[in-house]
Amino acid sequence: MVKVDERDFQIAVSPARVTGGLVDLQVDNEGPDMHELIVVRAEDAATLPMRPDGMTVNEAAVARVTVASLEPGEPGSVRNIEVKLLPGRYVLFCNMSGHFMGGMHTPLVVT
Amino acid sequence: MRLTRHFKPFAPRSRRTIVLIVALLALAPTVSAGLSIWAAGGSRHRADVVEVAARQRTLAERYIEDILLVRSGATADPVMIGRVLTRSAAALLDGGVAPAVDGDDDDTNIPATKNAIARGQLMQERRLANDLTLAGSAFLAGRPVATVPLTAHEHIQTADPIQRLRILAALTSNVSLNAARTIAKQADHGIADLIMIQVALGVGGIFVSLFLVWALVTATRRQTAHFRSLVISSTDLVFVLGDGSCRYTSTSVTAVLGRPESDVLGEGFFQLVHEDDREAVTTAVQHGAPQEIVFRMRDVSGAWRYLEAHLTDLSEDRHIRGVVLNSRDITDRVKLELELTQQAQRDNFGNRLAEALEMGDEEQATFEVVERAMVEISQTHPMEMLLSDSSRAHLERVATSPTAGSPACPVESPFSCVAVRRGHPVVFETSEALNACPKLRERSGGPCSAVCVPISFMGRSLGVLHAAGPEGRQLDSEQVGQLTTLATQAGARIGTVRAFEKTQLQASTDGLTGLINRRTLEGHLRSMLRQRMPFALAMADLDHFKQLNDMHGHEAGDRSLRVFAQATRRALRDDDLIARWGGEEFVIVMPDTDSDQAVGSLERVRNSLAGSHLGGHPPFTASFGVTDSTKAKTVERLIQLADAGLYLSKQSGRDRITVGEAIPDVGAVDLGTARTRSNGNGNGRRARPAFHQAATEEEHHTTGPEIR
Repeated sequence: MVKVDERDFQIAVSPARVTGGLVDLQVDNEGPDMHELIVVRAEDAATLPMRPDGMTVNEAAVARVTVASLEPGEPGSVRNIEVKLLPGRYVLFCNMSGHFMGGMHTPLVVT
Repeated sequence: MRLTRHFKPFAPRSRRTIVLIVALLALAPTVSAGLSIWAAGGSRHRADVVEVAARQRTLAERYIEDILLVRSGATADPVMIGRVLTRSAAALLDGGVAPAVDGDDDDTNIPATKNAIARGQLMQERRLANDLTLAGSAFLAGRPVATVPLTAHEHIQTADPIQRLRILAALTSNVSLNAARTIAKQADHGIADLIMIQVALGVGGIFVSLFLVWALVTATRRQTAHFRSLVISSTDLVFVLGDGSCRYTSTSVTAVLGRPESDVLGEGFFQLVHEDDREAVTTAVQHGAPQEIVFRMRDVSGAWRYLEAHLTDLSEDRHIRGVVLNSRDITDRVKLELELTQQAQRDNFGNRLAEALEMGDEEQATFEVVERAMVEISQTHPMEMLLSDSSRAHLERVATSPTAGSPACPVESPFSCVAVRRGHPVVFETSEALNACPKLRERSGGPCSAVCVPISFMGRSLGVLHAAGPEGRQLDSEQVGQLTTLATQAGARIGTVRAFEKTQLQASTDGLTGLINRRTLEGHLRSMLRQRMPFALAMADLDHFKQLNDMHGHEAGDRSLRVFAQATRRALRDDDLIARWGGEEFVIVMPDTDSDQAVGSLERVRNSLAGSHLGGHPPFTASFGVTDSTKAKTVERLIQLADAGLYLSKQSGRDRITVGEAIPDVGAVDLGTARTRSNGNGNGRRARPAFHQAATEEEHHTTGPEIR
C-alpha cells in the first residue's frame, strides 16, 4: 500500500518508490482545504501540459497517461484506490485551481 | 380503625389532574416550537454567509485584475478590494461585518462559522488572502513579490511576481469557493437536520398530544364515569323535554317501559303519555316551575305505568336546553294504595254487612239484608241469591235485586251450578265464550256477562249468588270482591241461623214424634198463665201401651206414638199445642177454649186416631183427662186436674174423655181409688185426689178394641 498524504499545499508519497503491478493507494486529505488526486504516468511535473490559464494541468491532454483520478475529498477523508502501475515514473497531483501551481504534486517511481 | 374511601366526584384533586394535562397539552407545541426556533437559529444567516463566502472568490480574482489594471495605468482600487477580501475572510471566520464592495452592495453582518471543516478552510482562506494582499501591496509598491513570506504553506516555484500573484489569487479563490461549498453544504445539512428535527418533533408531538389527549379523556371520563354509572344504573327515568318533544331519555327507559329509547325520543314521549295526563304534563313543562307531577305512560305490553316526576327547568342551561323530568316508577305503590283503598272499602262494606246480618235472627231477615247489599254493590246489575232447600237437591230463589231484578238463572240443582261445583267465584265476560256457563246461553235476552259466587258454610254448599250484566260490562273486580264478601257473610249468617234453629228445634221438640217436649210446653203454659190467656189442657195416654210394647216390640210402640201425634195434629187447630209429656203420655193445650169445648176437640182426635189405623201397626186407643185455665192458677195444678180426669177415664174403661175437677183438700181424697202406675219413664203418679167424670155416652164410647 502506498500512503498518499495531501495537505495545503503539498503531497507526500510513502514510499516514493514501489514495485509495479496493482498498487493500493491510501489517500489521506489532511486539509484544511479539499483536494483531488490524479495519477499520471509522466517523467515529472514540469513536463505536464497546462491549460491556457497556466494554473491547471490540461487533463484532457494527459488523459491517455492518467491511471487514476479521485474527485475532491473532504478534509480529514481517507480514500483508497487501486491502480495498476507499470514500471516507470508517475506524477501525483491535485488539479484544483492553483493547487498544482501552489505545490501539490509529487513523483512516484515504479520499478 | 378502617378507613372508608369516600366518593367525591367533584374533588379538587380530580380537577387538578385535568388542569395539569391541559397545561402539558399546551406545553408540548411550545416546546416543539422552541426546539424548531433553536434548530433554525443556526441557519438564519446561512444565505448571507454563503453569499459572502462565494463573493471572496470574485474578490480574489478582481484583486488581481485591479492590480494589473493599475499597473497598466488604468484606474482601479485593488487596495479596497484587498481590504474587503481580508476583512470578509475574518468576518467569515469569527463573525462580524463583511464590508460592502463600493457601489455593489451593503455591509453584511454575519455570524462566526462554527463548523470545524469550514473554519479550517476559512482560516486557510484568511492566510491566503493576507498572503495575496501582502504580495499585491509589494507588487504595487515595486518591492519583490517573491520575498513576501507565505503563511499558508504555499510552495510556489515561480519567481514571476504576476504569476505568483495569480497563483495566490487562484488559491485564495479556490479555497474561498471550497469554503463556500462547505458552508453551503453545512447549511444543507442544517436544513436537513432541521427538517428531521421538525419531523421528529411533529411525530413526537403527535404521540405526546395523543397521549395527553388520552390522559385528558381518561381523566375526564373517570370523573364523568361516576355520574354515567349512576345515571345508567339508576332505575330513575330522566327525560329532557324541549320544543314539544323529548330530546333525551336515560337508558333506564328500557327497564321501566320495556321500550327502546327511540320509542320515547321526539314526539314518542307525548304519544306514550296517557291521554288524560297529557295536558297536565304539557302545561307543567311549559310552565317550567319546579314541581312534582304524576302521570301514566304506556309500557311495551300496553299496561300503564305510573311515574312520579320532579320537574326542573334547565332551558337556560346551554348544556341541557330543556325541562328535565326526574321520574320514578311508582306503579307498584299506586296499585298497593288502590288495593288498600279497595280493601278498606270492602272492609267497610263487610263490616256494615256483618252488622246488618247480625240484626236479623232468621233467614228471611238475612235475605232482606242481602237484597239491600245487592243494591249497594250495583243498582243496574240484576242479582239473585239461590239457596238449596232441605233436600239439598233444588235451588230456591230467596233474594233478588230490588232495583235491577233477577237475572233468572235457570239452574235448578246445586250440582248443576259450575260455581257451586268449583267452590269459588266464576266470572263470565260473555255468554258467547266457548267456556261460558251453558245456563247463560239458555237464557233469553241475548249475550250477557255474569258473575257467580258460591255460598257455603262450614264447607257445605248452601247456594249461589248470581249477578248478570250486558256483555262486556260485567261487575268490576271491586264489585266482584263485594259480591264475594256478601256471599261469604250471608252464607255464614244463613248457616248460623239454620244451625241455631236446628239446635233450638232439637232442644224444644221430641225427637220421636216431632212434637214439642214437656219443658217447652211448660214454658208456653207459664207464659199463657202470666198473660192470663184462657185455654183448655188435656192429658192423653195410650191405652194398653205396655202390652203393645211387650207383644209387638218397641218399634211398634214408637210407631204408635208417632201415629197418635200425627192424628192429634190433624184433628186440632194450628194454634193448639201438642206435647209429648213422657212415655205414652201427651199434653194438649187449646187456647181460647174451655173444658167443654175441649171435649169436642178431643173427640175429633179420637176419631182421627181411629181413622189412622190403616195397617202397619196394631190399632190402639187413648184416654183423655181435661181441665181448663179457669180451674187452677199453676201449671202443676192444671196438670194434676187433667191427670185426675185421665185417671177416671182409665178407671172407666179407657178410650174416653173425662173432665177433671178441682178438689181443694188433698187430705180428704179417697185413697182407695188412687193408684200408682208406671208409664215407662219412671215418672210416678200420686193417688188421684178427686175427680169428676164427664158422663156423656159419646165420651165413654170406645172406638177401638181394648188392648191390654
